[in-house]
Amino acid sequence: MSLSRRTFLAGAGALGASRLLRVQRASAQRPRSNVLVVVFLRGGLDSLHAVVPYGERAYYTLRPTIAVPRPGGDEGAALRIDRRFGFHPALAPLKTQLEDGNLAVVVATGLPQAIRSHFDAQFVMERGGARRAGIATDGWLARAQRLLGDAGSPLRSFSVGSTNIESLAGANAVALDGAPRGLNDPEQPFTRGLLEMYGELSAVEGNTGASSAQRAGSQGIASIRHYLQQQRRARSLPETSFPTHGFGRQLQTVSQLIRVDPGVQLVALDLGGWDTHRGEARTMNTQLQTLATGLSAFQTSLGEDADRVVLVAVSEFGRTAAENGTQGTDHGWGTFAWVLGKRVRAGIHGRWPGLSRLFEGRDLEATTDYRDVLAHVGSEHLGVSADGLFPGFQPGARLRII
Amino acid sequence: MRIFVLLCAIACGSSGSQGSVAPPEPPEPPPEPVETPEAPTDDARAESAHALRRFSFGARPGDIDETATRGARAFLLAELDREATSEAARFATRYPVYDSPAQLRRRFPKENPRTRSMDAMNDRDLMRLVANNGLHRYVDAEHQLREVMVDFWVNHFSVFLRKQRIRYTIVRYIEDALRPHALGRFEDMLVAVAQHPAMLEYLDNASSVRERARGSRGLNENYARELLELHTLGVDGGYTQNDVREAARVLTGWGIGRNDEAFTFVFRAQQHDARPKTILGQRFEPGGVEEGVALLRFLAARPETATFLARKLCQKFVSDAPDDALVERVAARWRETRGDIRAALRIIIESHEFWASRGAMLKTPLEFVTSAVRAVGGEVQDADRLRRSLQRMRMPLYGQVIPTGYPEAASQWASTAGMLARMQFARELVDGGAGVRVDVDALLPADEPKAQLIARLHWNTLGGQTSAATRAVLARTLDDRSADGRTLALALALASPEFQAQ
Repeated sequence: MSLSRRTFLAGAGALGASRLLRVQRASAQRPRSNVLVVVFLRGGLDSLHAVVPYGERAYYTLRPTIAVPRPGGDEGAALRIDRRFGFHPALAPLKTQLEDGNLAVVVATGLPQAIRSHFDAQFVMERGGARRAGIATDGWLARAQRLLGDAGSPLRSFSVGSTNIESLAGANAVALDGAPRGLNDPEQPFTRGLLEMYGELSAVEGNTGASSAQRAGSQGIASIRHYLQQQRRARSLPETSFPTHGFGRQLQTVSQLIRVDPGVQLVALDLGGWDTHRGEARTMNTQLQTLATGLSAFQTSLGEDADRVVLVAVSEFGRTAAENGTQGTDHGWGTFAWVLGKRVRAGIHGRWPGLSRLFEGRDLEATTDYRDVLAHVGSEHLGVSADGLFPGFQPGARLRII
Repeated sequence: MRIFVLLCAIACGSSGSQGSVAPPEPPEPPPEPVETPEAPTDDARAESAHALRRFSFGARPGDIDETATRGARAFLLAELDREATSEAARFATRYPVYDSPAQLRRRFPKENPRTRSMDAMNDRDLMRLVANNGLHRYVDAEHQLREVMVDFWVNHFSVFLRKQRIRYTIVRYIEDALRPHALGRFEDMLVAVAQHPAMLEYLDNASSVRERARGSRGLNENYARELLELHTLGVDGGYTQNDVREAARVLTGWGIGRNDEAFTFVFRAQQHDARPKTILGQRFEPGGVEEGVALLRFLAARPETATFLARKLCQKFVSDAPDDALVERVAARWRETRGDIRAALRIIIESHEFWASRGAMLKTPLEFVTSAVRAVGGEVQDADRLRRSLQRMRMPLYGQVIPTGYPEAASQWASTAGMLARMQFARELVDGGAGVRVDVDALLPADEPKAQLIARLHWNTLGGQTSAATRAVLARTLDDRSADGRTLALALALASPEFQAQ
């Protein structure tokens, strides 16, 4: 089998300086892409402990020891958002973002049917379905990537931290982590060897297994080298402050790459640790602090690029409305989604089902399908159709977040 | 064993790449008498390398020559007919996962997330051990061909380790339902799978009961659908939604025992739908548990099943897009022998398509990891590292959530992130960071001339597929024959595009 001329040139050139120069030159003229950043909050985020429905008496009867106190003078009291909801005090930086017009909260979102297994629920959500049966063979962000087409950057879609984010399954996305170190240094013998073995695409002609590995590998190397080069360029960006925790550092990388590389379109990252079966108040305090300081710093850092960036944070499910016997909560259904960006209509969105009528007597209902949120953001911000992102899905809730 | 190395065709021709810093080559010792009558030809070596890439988890140093001496085809046919021996004992002391599910549940109780305790063993430890055991066996199994088929069936009849109680039943499922039939009769395996608690739980048949049974939630079609779509007829197998429903009705009452008899198959007549059913035009008269067994044997004998399984075997061993003619030959043998798996494989091994397909496929992450460990003659010390590496490459063992199993095709695995992860793993492995002991001096002896070292990499690591670019890289790297230089050459060989080919 012979490689097509186009593939050959793309791959062979990918490792040379000439293509990178072309990319840079082209990028100076190309309009800067709109960017969607997706943060998966893994473990099942207890929305009721973060966006507190303090206006409902039931909240305090369901959670005698872990409820966040009503807004007021109490230590640890909720920060008032409106007559019904308040933020956990650790979310103060996000309250500021909301007041600045950058943050929308969609309450009571989730899978269209309750799935209470972490693995199942995450898998179904990331592939963009309703249930495991008959689910798509690729992730919903992979479909977004195909619909968007190539914006001219090897980093048009990438993940930070985790190397196996399911929503990117089937996309040729780059995982910034997990690559060999030192790829930016052609003097390093391992790097030099890789560059040569993956450089000449004709080298393994006739061996289709090796040539498919070579195509993907050469693209991967080119992407990582491009990333490392962009990272160097990012040193000249205006300084912004980020929290020093891992999530903060990851968001800093994301922000920098968005600002220096106009071709970035889709970014995926994770924040885990939300599976609060016991001692929830303490865990959530730390978790929410990490989340809020990270997201807020991210939004602030974007500066003049803020117009073209939207960040969505979702979780696989919420948790039981009542606390359990160990000052925690168990797997439930409805939770919330954050939508952060300069273009959003700030405030609380979605239909609140209340705590007096619980699904199966235990869970907050999900009144907004998570795909309604993602499809809305996808069409308004990226210009891709709901049906392309979630084939067969009929949008339900009328959201006006963007 | 001693490796005979032919220096002629494979010797490095890149003497020009030696920089001025490299010391002049020491005068080479007089060549060993390598051209003994037993030394196989390069053609025989290349055929053996191909056979081992496809029908084992990778060639270990020396395997290719040994196989070539016997003849690759004769070797595969002998492996195919080799008597099954129990290898579990070799692993059972290290991985205490072979006991009954009930014993495992006592030893590794399900972790209560509310009272998380660090000291006691729990089911999370068990899940790690189960996957580590599976991986370690793939790497170290004596009877590799059978082990490859065990993996094929593990993937065909995929269950998800983390669902419900499958962590307790999966090893017995593999050992009792899959392994004994891996080269046997398909229909026997199909029945064993259908009656195993792991599958009954994974695809929910255990909770499927006849409609209008007292206090029941009714029919659950999950298993019946996958039985037709994934296990037997295939998605294009010509069945309808009505067939799915009727099959589910046949299998009502097939469940798992409670309490003392938990983890065993039970048939509950009172939950079974005792009215007649019709599937693919065939009427099934009320017959209790035997009715379900008859359905399974009926499905196994369908020509659609023969074609579906024949194609899947060809996609595993020959090509991502196998010729219809080959598929039909394998399917015909399957039909003639009523699903004799060994007979079907013999057709593949004896086909010209198989021998002409050298390097046409891409290793899956599992095949890459196991073959890298075997290529370096590695001794697995901490299989958990290997397990985590596979997880990073998106292919955790027993970790496929959906019942389709993992894909085999190159298009599914040739991703940028996946290839970078392989390069990183190659580096980690030779540096001793992958939980595997690697003896570089044994693989690439310090006192051998460069050409001989390259020849060793060319055959032992790359199975005779070294490209000019890779050979030049290896030659330059081996200008430094210190431990560092040889380790690096080994890492580069494993990270090369050719090593990813199958």
